[in-house]
Amino acid sequence: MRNRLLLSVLALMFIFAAMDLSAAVSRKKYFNKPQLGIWYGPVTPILKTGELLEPDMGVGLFFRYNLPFDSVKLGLDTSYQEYKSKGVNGLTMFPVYMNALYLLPIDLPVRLQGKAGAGMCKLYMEPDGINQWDPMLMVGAEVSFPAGKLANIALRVDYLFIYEEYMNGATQNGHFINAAISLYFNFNL
Amino acid sequence: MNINKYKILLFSAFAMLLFAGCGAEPIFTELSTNRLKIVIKGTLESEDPVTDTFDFTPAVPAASYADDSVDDEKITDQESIDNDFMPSKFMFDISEIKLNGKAIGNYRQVLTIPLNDSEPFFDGKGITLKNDDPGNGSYNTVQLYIRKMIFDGARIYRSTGTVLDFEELAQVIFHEDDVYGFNFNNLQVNSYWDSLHDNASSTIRIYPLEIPIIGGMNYDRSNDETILEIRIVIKNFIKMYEYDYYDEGIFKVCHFYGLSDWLRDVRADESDMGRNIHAVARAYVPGKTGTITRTDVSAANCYVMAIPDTNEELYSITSSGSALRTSVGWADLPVAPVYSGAHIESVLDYYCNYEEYKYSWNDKYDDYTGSDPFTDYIAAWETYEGSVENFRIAPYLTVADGSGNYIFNNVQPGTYYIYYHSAPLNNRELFVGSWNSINSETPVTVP
Repeated sequence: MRNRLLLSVLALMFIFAAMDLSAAVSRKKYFNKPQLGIWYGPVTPILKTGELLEPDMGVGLFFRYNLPFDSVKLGLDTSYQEYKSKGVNGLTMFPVYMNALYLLPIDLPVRLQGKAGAGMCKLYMEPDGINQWDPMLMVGAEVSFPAGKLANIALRVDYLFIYEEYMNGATQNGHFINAAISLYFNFNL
Repeated sequence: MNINKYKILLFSAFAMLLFAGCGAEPIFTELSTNRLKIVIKGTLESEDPVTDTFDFTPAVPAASYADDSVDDEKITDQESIDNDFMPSKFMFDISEIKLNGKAIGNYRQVLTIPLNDSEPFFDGKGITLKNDDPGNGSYNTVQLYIRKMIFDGARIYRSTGTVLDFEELAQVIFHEDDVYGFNFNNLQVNSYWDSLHDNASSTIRIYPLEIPIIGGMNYDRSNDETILEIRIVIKNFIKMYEYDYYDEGIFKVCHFYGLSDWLRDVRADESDMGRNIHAVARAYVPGKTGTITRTDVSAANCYVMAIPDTNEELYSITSSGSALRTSVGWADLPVAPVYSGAHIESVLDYYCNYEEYKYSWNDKYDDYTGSDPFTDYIAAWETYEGSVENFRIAPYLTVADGSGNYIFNNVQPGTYYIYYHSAPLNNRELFVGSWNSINSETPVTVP
């Protein structure tokens, strides 16, 4: 009986180790493929921007491509975000940015990535009718796992910084958190 | 590797393209800034509101301010008429503000204002409303969505069969609380003229209250501040009215306070109070205004107005509102009684009133001499409406002193024509008859 128990524990340990080993191989494998995905989730103005606008839901689309360096990828991310205020002011955002994604060297069944990037954000403010592009920066993190050979599921959190203080008369910038669940697909390009 | 370099370059070029063509308007700063300030006042005058005739002394019995639509018999029969006093406060509830139909504020704003000369609402300073900014552009009207307008002091009397006894103070819900008063907002529709139309059920006269911005407002974000001043004539414009109803078969009368029916006369037993809310708006940019200071002896002690055109006829009516209503003649038919429930007293009252109604109706119709009553009936009310619908309040209005001195401050740049009205204004009345021109040949130009 004791031997059977010991054998069972050893067998389980072996299975877990084998799973982790195969996950490590698969992690690296699917990270090295071009990917196209969508995300959907709450978008939240924070800091001073949080006093002006109300949280809402946003939706986005992204594409990622390999670099010669194994742990780093380049991504192009765009989204649609609409914010209302307590009054009649409203802001529609359409950020378009490039980012670099770094696969953290942590050996877990899930994949952890850090990301940082820059780009432009199309802004439309109502009822003033101001419509323009602003420069923006972003940093974020993402945890993902494979859902079959083709698809991956991820949870992502990004901080978006819309830079405006360089303009005449500007006293503040835009600060947003985009949290989302995303689904993306691997391509054999 | 070369292919990868090419792809990186392509991505980088795309990113560079995105950085081209940045905007120049700080949107987040703009979101936090309020450049359009809306100030609301309860006075007829834009400068130095009249104070001497402000009869809001609670000790003054209201009977002398009762409208002629209040049934005299019912009042004199009751012992408690001396208990009617003028109201002591005005309450209103604004839900939304729009400019040219475009929303600029959806903040609920609930104001309770004591009826007192020293209140900012009545002393010429005004109360600032909360709103957001509109887009750059030109605006001609402001729409004020007013949920309720209430004066306190409304009293309910119940019939004892021979007299009307005081029962209780009328209550109404205001800002989610029971308050003493009567909401006269619901009654602000035009008697006859509105109710005769196919779209009567959807006709709304107060939600929104459409207010002209005379001279227009050119809003430009490059100005740090733009003031939009709205004036609603409340001060010296309050009257007592009567609202009759049956409550479980018992005849009751509510005496309440509303705005004067000077323009659209209210007759006995009518619950509609006409569209008798008079308001005007004007706009200016602080620092970009002028002052009109003049002395015109002919205008001494008279109301003086400055308007941006020569349409002075819009600022008065040709004869009193009561006379205009009388001129409707035979077409101003009596009000039919309302069947008021299953109680024997009220049913008997109804049939008695109905007989009286039929008699009055036939009496009126006897005066008719035409051949097409329906067409003539419409024409009579359209003529009446035409004589009252265009009346407006001047954007700059004050009273000259005994030497004819007067001043208009914060005048938007432009050309103005100045008129005076020969007769000093009576309480609860506005302007009847022509305005007299002071400088129709020499417009005042504000630099």
